Amino acid sequence: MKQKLRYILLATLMLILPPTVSRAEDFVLTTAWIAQSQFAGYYIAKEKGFYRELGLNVIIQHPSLTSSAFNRLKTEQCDAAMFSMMSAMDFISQGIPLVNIFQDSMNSSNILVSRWDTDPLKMKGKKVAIFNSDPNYLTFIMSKKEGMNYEWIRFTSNINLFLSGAVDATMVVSYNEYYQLIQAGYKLSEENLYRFSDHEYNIQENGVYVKREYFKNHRETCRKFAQASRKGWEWAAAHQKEALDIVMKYVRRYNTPTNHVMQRLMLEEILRLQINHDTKQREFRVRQDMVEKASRLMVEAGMLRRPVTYKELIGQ
Amino acid sequence: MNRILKYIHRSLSTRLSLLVVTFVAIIFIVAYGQIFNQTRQMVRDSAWNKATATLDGTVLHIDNTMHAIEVAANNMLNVIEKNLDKPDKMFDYSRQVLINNPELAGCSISFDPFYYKSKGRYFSAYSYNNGDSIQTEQEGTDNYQYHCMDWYLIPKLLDRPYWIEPFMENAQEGIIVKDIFTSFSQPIHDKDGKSVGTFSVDICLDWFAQTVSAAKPYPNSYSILLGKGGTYLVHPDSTRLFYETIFTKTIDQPDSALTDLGKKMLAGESGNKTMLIDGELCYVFYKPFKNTGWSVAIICPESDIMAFYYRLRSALQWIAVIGLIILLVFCWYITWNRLYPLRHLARSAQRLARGQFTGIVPDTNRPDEIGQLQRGFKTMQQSLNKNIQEVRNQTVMLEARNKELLEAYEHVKEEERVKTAILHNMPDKMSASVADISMTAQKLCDEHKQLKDEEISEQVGKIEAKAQQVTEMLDELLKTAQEETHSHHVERTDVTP
Repeated sequence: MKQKLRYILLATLMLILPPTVSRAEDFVLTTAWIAQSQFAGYYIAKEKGFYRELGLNVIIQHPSLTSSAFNRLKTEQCDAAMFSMMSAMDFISQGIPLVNIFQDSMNSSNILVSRWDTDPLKMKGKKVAIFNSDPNYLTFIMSKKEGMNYEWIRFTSNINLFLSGAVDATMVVSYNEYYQLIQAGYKLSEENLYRFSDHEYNIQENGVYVKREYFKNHRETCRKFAQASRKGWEWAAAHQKEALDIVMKYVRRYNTPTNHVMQRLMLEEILRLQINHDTKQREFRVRQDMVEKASRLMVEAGMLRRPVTYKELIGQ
Repeated sequence: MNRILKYIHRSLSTRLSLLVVTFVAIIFIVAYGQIFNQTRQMVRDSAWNKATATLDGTVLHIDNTMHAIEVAANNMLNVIEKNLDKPDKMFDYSRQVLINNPELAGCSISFDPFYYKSKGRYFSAYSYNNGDSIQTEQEGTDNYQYHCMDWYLIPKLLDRPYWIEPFMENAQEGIIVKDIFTSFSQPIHDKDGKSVGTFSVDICLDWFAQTVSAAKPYPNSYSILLGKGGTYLVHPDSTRLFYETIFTKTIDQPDSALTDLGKKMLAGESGNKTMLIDGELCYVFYKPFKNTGWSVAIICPESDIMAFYYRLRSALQWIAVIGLIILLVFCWYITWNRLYPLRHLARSAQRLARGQFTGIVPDTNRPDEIGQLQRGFKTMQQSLNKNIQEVRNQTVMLEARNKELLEAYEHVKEEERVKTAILHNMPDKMSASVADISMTAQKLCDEHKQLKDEEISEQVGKIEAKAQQVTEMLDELLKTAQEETHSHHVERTDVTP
């Protein structure tokens, strides 16, 4: 009888007491674009179990033409989404409070490429193709400040518009369309390129943002995500070949129209863009000076309703 | 090896055979080289013609089909431009295009934002073939902003018809392309000539890819199709379709030949090129499409094109090698056989050298040099044999005479020795005798008074005996001198001619 009572007591305790191993916390991230090396650090952190080690179950989603990253964050289909710093500042100034929890870009990747062997700054009033999905803040600011008065042609993606000769110049990012042009056998010389990072327009780009409300309630989750993501990127920098294999797994899973060579070049360039020009370090932080510069440029260009501060951006 | 070389060096028949075979081999090589060269050129020309004809046929077939689509689209464009004031008719027109051209997959008549104010920002009458039926709808939305699409933008900005780079639809798992589409788009102009929208027809390029892939003049040849950006639109490796360009590989592994081919194809050039592809020598024949600006290439591995040539060459090489071996054996046998008398003569000569002059040299009726040599050798052997026999006889005779002479010489030498001995002893004996005589005579003179008669007589007797001895000796000397004189005389008489 005593033995039976002991078993019943043990069973009751097992039902009442919480499990000793807690379940990993879900965290949904929507990247800025389709699956590619640009997000290698996040894929690696997930595949190598860096998120899991910190108790996170990170689900990586990619946006589509019909479902942008902003819409997903706005409609709470995800906890975090990737935006460029200027986009995030724009959203904040519009009254959508966002907080940067991780910054994976330290430099601008924007390049303006011109046809006809002409310097982009000598193509005043010419047709320039810009991404329809991108707010193109810096492009507009540069055009205005340099007095170029370009005619903007919004396009979806790819380089076909530029190759067809329908436009005189096109915006590219140094880790993607720039290499697509090389891959298409297009002859590029430095005279045809205007690298924003080499001029007054070097502004950090993609970072991971959450709503301020979420940030308030999940500070620890955000910290863990940033910690594991950083570890993922550092691992990618140290093991580029293996990192590329992981990226290609995602590329194939999501049918990204690309190839191994392009993804390798993209990864190398993304890792290069992560290095702070001043300290030569991979820092994964928002730079206060860049926030201030971006805010000033955007306010001057009438793109922000009000200045956005560094503290505001990082949730302080 | 050394043994073989020594054998070759020693054997005239082997050397002769090798010389003949070498000479014939040189003739073979020169002749075969010429034949191979000509044949290779002929085969290559034939392959060139075959591949070029295949390529031309493929390009012509596709160009014609594309042209037919262009004509159909142009006809409808005229209708659209004449009825711009009837926006709702655009849905009927787009549907009508698909009904009249069942090979088309879709058709859109799209307009600039707010061209029809009542229709708002997006107005695109889009019909598509749904298999059994044709569906028509308004396709522009905030999520599908066609104004930013290549098929809308490019012809509008260029203000001319344009074949859009093919794109893929319905990709399944992985990177396998199921269907390829392209669009023929052209700007829509109002009555003032202002571009107000784009009229576009979509075509599934399955037939296109099949037609290009079917351009296969040789079993292992294949075709590739490049878009305007060098993208592989048709390639036997489906993982490269749309995701790689002809230049992709050259980024990691610079390949000037491939880069050059890509540039020429993208520049719309026609031609051919010999180059290594994946380590295999290939002939590449390329040509652009007239309408689309894309370029197709047929790649024929050299091993495929030259298969007949290689078979022929291989067969002829074997025939030549076997022929030369047979020739070598035949030559060797013939020369070995023909040179048999020489070998026999060589053995006879060796016997002669050893002093055997009696060996048999066979008779021959051969009229050639070897026959003459054999007969001459036989005559020489017989002559030598005879001469040697005479020499031998003479030698025997000479030896006998020499022996006699030697004996005579020895006799003379003995006589001389005796004579010399006599001559040497004679004076001594004579001196002794004379001394005895003299001593005896002196004694007689000195002591004859004291001596008795008997003793004197005895002494005189001694003197007489000694004198007798001296006389005899003198006689003997005289005799010897006479004989000497006589023998000198004889010798002189003998030697005097």
